[in-house]
Amino acid sequence: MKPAWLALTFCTLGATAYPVAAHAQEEEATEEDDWGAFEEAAAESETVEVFQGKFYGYVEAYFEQVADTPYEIDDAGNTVWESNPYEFDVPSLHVFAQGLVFGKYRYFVNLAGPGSGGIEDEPIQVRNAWVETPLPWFGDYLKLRAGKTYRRFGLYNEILDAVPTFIGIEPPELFDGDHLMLTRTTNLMLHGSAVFGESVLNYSVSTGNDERKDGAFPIGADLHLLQGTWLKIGTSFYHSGGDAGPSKAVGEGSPTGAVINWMDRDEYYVFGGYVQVQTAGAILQAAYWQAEHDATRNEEEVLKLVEGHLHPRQRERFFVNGDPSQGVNTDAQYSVQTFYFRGGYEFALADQMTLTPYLQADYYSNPETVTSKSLGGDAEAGRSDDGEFWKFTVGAVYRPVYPVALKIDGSGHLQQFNGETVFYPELRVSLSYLWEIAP
Amino acid sequence: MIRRISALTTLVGLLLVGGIAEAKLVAVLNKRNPTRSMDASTLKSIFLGQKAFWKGTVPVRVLGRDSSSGGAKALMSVLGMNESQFEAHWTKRQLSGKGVKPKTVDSLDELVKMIGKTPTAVSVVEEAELDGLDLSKVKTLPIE
Repeated sequence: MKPAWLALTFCTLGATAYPVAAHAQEEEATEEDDWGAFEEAAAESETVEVFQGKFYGYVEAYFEQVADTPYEIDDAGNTVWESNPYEFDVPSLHVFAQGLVFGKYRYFVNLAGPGSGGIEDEPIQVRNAWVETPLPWFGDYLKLRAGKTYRRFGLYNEILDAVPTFIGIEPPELFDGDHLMLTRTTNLMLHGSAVFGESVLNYSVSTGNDERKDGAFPIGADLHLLQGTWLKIGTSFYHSGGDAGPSKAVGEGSPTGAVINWMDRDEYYVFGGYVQVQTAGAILQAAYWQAEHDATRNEEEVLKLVEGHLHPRQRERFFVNGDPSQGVNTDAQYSVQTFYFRGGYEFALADQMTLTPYLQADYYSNPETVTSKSLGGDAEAGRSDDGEFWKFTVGAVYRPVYPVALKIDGSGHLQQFNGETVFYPELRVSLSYLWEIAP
Repeated sequence: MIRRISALTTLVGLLLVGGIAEAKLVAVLNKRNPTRSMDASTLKSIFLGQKAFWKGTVPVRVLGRDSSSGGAKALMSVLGMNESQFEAHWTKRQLSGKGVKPKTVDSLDELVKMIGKTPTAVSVVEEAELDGLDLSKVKTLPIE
């Protein structure tokens, strides 16, 4: 019996040891320790496709109803309220193409048709059109992107065109089209990432035409850390790098950057930080941004604001002794501040069906803006006695399947008007769906 | 005494053999890829699009699996996500120009052949799924 037991023992040990030894042999026989040869093999591979890509997009249909809003003060000193018509729109119509050339040069094209819900034909805009290359030897650590690209700034700038994917309907005030704190796009970005275990450090610097005047060199930067899939924390910065000029004249609507329509020149910078936590279905976001402006008003343009129902604080601000006939105060140093908190929780209802209720609180302060959007104001802070407002929002996102998102939310503006605290609500509904064609 | 030691050794050996035979997740790479090891963090960064290059400017070509496959389910476990969250992650990346969701290959045989023909390709499977397939042009690395 003893030899049988011994034989079985040795067989067992042998069976245990054999796969380990075989694996070691296989490893030694098949691995190449030559990245140069591997790179050549990759380049010469018969299966390398010159163009790899995907064609996709989404459409957003939208409805909004704003309650009566404070408009002006009559001769008796009473607040005059105006009604607002309901509005249907297609605020987002996007077509994207993205892919790789020879496996490593990334291209991205994003065509948009904002405000396409009206009866008039709207122009198609180019939101992004860029190509990106990794720098030799650096790979993920450094990539150069050129063309027209969204600036990497905060939590939302790069994903604002991804309406179906985030909670909330309206963007943070930082990127509200009625009072942008900086331009959303730029032309040249150097960026990269470094992976350290579960952490990924992302960094970027960017520059472009932006709103620059003469020899200005605008520069933006972003640095953020991703910890696993649950934490994103970072900071962003932008400086106009000299004088910037307005993108629109008074009467042409909201500016597409931070320089208000009636400025002759404006040198400014923006800084702030953000954090996002995602865990167990919950998402929490917070961000703070501040802009400092050193500007000079254009007298001719400021005089056009008189037709815009300015209130006393604004008259004092723009005109000598508050009287347009006595001249314009041309020096304009001011700060713009905003912060927000957003939180939501995703309930899984069925296979792909989810419901995500959310709450938001936004604060915005800008003493320079005015009410009239057509003149370059924002109809929010510009309406307020002190240039400030709070906005509280409650809503929900219902996704019957992931590519389709129905959002409903209601918000209320809280601000000072004619010496009183006023509150007016808004209702918004958004239905969006994603589509794609992948060869 | 010798009999007891032998019995104990046999028992331990059988347990070890049994352990090795259990399904485990492995990365499948082209045999010419010099990568020697694959930890969970690196796998995560590859499948979440955070690592786009093997080394220098040699691109990573990620191939995904059908969501019903054992390998795909195990991958979700490594990523710490469910399928819906993985879709959401890639939708955001696609819409902001940060990459395109990995192409999915339904057939395991086709997957192995594609990796064998494409030096930069990588995917993940449960090791047991590879039984009976021609692995002459690929190699597997256990996920550490």
